[in-house]
Amino acid sequence: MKGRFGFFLRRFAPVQAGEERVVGYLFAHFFFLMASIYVSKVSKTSLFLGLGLTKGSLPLVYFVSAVLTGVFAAWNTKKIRSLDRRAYLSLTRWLFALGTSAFFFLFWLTRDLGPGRSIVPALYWFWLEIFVLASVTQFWVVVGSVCPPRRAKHLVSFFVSGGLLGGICGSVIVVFLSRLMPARNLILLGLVFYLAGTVFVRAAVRQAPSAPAAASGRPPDFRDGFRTVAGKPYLRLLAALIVVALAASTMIDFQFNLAVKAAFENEEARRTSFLAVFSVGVLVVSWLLNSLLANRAIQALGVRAALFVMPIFLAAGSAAFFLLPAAGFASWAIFMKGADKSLTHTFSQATRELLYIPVPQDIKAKAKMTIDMFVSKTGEALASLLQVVFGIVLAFPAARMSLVTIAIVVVWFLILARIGRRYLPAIRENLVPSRPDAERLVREQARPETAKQLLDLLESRERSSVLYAYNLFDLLRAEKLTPELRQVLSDKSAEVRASALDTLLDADSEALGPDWSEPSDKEPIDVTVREVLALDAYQNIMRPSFDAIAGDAAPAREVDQMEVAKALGMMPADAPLTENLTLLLRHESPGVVQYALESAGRLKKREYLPLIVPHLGRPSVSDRAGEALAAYSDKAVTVLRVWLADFRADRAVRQALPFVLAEIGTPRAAEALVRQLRRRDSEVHEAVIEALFKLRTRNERIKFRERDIMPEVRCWVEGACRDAENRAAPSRNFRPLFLLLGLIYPHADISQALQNYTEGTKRAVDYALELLENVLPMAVKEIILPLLEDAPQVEKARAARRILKSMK
Amino acid sequence: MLITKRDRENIVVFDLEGEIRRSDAPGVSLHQHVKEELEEGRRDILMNFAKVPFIDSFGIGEILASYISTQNSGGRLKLAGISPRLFLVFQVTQLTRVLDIQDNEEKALASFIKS
Repeated sequence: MKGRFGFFLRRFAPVQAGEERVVGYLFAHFFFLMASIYVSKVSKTSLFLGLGLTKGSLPLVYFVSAVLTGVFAAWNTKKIRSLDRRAYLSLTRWLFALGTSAFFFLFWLTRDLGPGRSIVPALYWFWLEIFVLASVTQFWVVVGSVCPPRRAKHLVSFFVSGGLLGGICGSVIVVFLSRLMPARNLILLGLVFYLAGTVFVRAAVRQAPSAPAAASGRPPDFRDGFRTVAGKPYLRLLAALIVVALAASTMIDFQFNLAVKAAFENEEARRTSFLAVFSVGVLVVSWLLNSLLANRAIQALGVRAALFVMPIFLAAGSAAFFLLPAAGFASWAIFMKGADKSLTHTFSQATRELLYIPVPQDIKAKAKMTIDMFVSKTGEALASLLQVVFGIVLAFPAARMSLVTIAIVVVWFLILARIGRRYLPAIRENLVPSRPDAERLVREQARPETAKQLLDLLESRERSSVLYAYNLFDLLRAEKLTPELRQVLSDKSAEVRASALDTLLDADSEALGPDWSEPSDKEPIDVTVREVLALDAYQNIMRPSFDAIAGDAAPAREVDQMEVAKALGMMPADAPLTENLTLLLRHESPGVVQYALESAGRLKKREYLPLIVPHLGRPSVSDRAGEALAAYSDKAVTVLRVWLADFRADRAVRQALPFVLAEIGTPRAAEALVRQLRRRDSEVHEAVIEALFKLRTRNERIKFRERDIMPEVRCWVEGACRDAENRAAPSRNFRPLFLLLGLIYPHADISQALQNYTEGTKRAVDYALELLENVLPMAVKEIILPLLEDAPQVEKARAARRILKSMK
Repeated sequence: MLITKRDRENIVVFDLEGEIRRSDAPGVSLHQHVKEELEEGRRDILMNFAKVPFIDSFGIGEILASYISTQNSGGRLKLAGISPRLFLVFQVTQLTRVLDIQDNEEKALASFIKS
């Protein structure tokens, strides 16, 4: 299969290297299975319509069929639980082989009975419904268990094509054979096709990657399935969707059967031939739709919009019944049936499968089995009851039954609207629990500012009681001292050199709190201190002292300089003494510079900016420099932008600047970053992207223009495509791409997708890509997803060439 | 606030009593009292804060103005009996670098004599 056929599969189908064999077997199985089903269905319908069907008997057949298949489903579920996959396949093969053979003989025995006198065609109808239900469900369960979810999604339309081709082949054979033999003989042909198909499904199961029994889809019992469906709102909606879709389809089938019976009364060969031709027509249209339109339409419309295609068509078609003359009913009923079938085979089936993507694998296995086997039957039973009520009790003519169909479709719309609202949240809910947003966590919970202030406090305690007091003021002013922390500091007060500080830390006298912080009684000490620092008299008295300290280069004065640096930050910006800060910002000692930077951030004087920026390149003070600059907010943006653009500036400084702008977080800061992004300066490009993303995380109100960001996305894509073409090149870092996308598309979703993609597990990557597929526009998806997909190098290189070509 | 003046060993001692705050300013301020003494040729002045539980920035401004006036007149100003809490204010504002603050009146008087 790795030879020419493998090449063929990879060339014309969405098949990746390594999976050709399994996909080929599944395709072949579905081909023969659908050939078998179509041969048998044509025979079944023709035989049943030949019984002398009345308007009243068809609803009964629908109802009994629904009940029996439900009961069978219960039995079937238990068998699946008790047998392994291969034993189950073997059992069903023998069961259907024997059953079909038995019916052949029953038809032969009752061949001479007149119309309306044999119950065998009705029994065969029930039998075939069970066969179709079990075999199709089994096929999709096998697909789900041997293909990863995202691969299964891509392969659905390919398998459906195989089924359609099988149905066409089977129906064409029936067209020719129906004139040569009675319909009862054709059911043996269906059996032959079925047995041929089972060879391939067994081979597919053998070839599939080994999976534990539970994970390979050994379904749970139906009670468990019902509980699962009932317990999840999203699954309840999917179940309701199936009910209404089947109910509408059964209503259309009802009208179709009445029309065919009227048209081919007592003409079994012609009826069988017509039904086969009809099937061929439906399948060819379905195949064309599936091959040429459905996939593209689903991709273009998105899953949620594509779901509306079928009900809109059915509603419009049913409404059109009332515009036609009575004579046109048969043609229109046949047309509607054809449309219903074609759309079911294409849009409806594919989109319904996609709706299960947000459902975790274990829950999906239980829910899908329950919905396909039981819930869908409820739709048929509901339709049969409506046929009894409106067709028999209220005596609606066949054409007017379209009113009921329209009513069902209205409910269908309502359910789809709710599903549309829940689809994306359901995907988000099932994302692999990702690491929390570290920055947000720190900002909201860890209070880094408090930690820093505490650290300053503890460091200064042994160094200087003045610094200690200043730092204590900062904490108390910001009300960041918890009672526990107050107690700890109070216990340690004895170690503090200045006994005066006991007044701040004396827990007994509550000096930390009410004693000096209640303005109603006494002015808080820090307020008094600030007022004193602002006094002209103070400025005059302290000038000689501060000038001498700030201008002294002797290391022995370091503590004094720290105290002065700290005090300057508590003065008004226009206080004469603050001139000394320029000297202290140039100091060699990191300790002094730290306090000077902090004060500069408080005073926010423009003349300090050129002195602060270079400190971004000093690891010991770079954090403090960043905070000081961020405190300037927009006032600093112009200066920072110039430094950032200056390629002669220190590299470490330049790489730190984008994060300062992100910290500032204003639209002007964002604009400065975008300007720099457009320069594509390799030294700071990644830092700028990271900073832009950080800025957007902190302030989601800031919007970026697509025309600014998309060129960078395209640039990344082009680079990644060239890397993919050059097999020797390592894979390009995907992080900048996600970050860029997060600037212009739903930020939270892209963040989650990034975290899951980074997680790297198959499931996490699948959900990340699914999320991207749902939030990105088509033009972006087309150039990005193929590069992010987990695919062999050869596939990626081919996709890269295609993307590069499309981008030109 | 109550201000009383007395002489000890040729040093003017101002005894201050009560809270010193802008809202409770006396008719004649502390600084005016000091200026009057300086104008009369007295040069050594001691402010005794032993009975002052609270002082706001206005009060400290008075002390600083008195200090400047004393310095300009070539005199000496010392402070004594300051509570720990009040001392903290002087310490944090780094006025301890400039002002002469003694624990109590006796020590202050002794320091006048020594220097």
